[in-house]
Amino acid sequence: MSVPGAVQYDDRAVAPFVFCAVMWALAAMGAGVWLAAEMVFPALNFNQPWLSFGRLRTVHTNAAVFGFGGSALMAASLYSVQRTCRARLFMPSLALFVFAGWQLVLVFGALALFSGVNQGKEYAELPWPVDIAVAVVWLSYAAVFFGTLARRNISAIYVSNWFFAAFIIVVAMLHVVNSLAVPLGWGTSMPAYAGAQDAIVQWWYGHNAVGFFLTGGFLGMMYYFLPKITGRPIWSYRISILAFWSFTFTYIWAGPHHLHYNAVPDWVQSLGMVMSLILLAPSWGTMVNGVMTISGAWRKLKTEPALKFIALSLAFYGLATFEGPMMAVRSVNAVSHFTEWTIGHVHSGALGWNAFVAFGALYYLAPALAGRPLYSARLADVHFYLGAAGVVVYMLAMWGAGITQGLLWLSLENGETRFGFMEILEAVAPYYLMRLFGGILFFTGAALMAWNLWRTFSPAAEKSEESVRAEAAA
Amino acid sequence: MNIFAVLFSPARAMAEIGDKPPGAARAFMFAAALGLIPPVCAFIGASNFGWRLGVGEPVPVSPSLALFVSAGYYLFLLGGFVFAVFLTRWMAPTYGARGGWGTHAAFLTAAGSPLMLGGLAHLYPHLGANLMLLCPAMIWSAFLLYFGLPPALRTDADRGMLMATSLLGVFFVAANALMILAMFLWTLGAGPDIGFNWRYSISG
Repeated sequence: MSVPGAVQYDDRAVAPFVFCAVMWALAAMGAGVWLAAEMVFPALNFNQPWLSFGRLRTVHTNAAVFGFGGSALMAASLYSVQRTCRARLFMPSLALFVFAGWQLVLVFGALALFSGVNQGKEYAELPWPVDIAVAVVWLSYAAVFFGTLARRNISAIYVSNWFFAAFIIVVAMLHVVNSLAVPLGWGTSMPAYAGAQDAIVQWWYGHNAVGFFLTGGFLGMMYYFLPKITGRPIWSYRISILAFWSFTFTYIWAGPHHLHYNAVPDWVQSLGMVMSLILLAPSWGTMVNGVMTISGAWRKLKTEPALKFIALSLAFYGLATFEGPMMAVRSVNAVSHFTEWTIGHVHSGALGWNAFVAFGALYYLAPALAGRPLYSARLADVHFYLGAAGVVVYMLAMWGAGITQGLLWLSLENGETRFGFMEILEAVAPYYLMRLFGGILFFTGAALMAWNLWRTFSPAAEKSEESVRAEAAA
Repeated sequence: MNIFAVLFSPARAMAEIGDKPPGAARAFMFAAALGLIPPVCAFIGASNFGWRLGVGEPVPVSPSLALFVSAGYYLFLLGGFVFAVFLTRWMAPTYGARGGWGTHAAFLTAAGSPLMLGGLAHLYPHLGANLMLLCPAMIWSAFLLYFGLPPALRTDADRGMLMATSLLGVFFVAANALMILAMFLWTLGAGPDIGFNWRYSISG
């Protein structure tokens, strides 16, 4: 696409990434709703191994994090790095390879997981041949991003690129180190680390996948699209840089809080807890920065549907980054660990923060790439309210279920557990139904977005009355 | 302030708060009275039926313990309300919202009234039953927060939306903090005896 000025930007890889991000969002959320339904009506697995909770759950998480999140992040970074550097994409054909390679990796990964081939490491389940392919695609992505950064026509590196750079470098490091294994066959391997060391490396990877993929990358997205949509600079550039360095330094140490009360040294657990608590400061600094940037641009709410999504995403970012450190405190973790509270925490972050900020970016990118206004701002509004209600219902259901599980699991009578597995499952069943309802609301909103963006892109589609009015006004 | 008007004719009630706000003392007294509903119901429910965790026999709660917990609950609600009034007053200039202490206290009381009335669920102290009633009450309160803020605090609809979102974020964090504090106290041994293995959290 051409823009006024001398630089011709190359967005040939961006549009397909936007399309695939939406498709993976539907696939991941559809699988999520199915899983939530299986928890209420177990017969829904139809006795098929590939539809069993264990297999479908890993497909759900991989499709959500790497399919939806990854595609949205690649679209956003490849689009924004050109604009913030005033430079054309470095090796555009390599960017197209990154697109095709990433989608192939995801499809092969999903097929492996569906067929039961799984390394058994959370968020790193893919078998070793797929892991190698991921590394190749990721290094190609790094080459495109850093190559573009190197040929920039502006001396300063804008803060969104700092976050994207950290995301790319750290995820590469985590993926390579955690995936080191001795192959035993095409689908099986032995981890390079043994016992507790393997657990520590896995959660160093696992928590920093949350940190640098779902936080660092998405903060890069927020720092580009928020000023772009509001037409205002970031409220405090100084806070954004300070938050970047404190975030990058602190996050990397927080992983052991996933291993409280496990066979790792006490001091490692305590270090993870303390670093998690420190993380609250950079996280809330970023939240305040975002909120203050939006508050000065309220007039844009009428014309920019994306802004509402980003505004609410910041509220959920604040909540998730408060709840996370608190759950890392050992006496709170004693109740919350292994319960649905953790699932609620993950989803208030993944749906409320990640998905909402990605929806905002997609609502901005689709009209920008299509060269015409969004098909329906009203439909985007409906999506916003459905999504917000969905994530709140989901979160509250999991809070209730998690506290119930945590207290009942730890209740003793004569030194024995007081309540049986089935009794506790029955106690949390109503919450599972409530979670299903919340999930359906959120999925419906995402489906509306898919329809809205499809109509925006489709040149043959009949224009809505709204978009005709918007074009006339422009 | 008329509670029925808030519940059944919210647009008119919120506009009235903006046009003819009550005095600060009257607004705070009203909030303090409304805030009695959840703790009083919790006291009656807990002392008569015990706590139901969704499984097994109800956990008996003695009247003195129920009174202690309910009194603490009321103090938390009052403290939270005063904090929320200070918070909206502090946020107001950023979002162009107007009004004195009375206006802000009356608006927050109005927006929170479905939740306070939802406290009637505490008469039957079952976590699931409470959540089933308090969830719709919370959605109702969120609706009043979003749509009542612009007329009550006399700001633009879009700025009101942003302010309501900021407030919602703080309220979620506060609810989360309360939940975490409760778990923290429980793992340290406070609260009724359900055979909870609190030593687990101390010794590791």
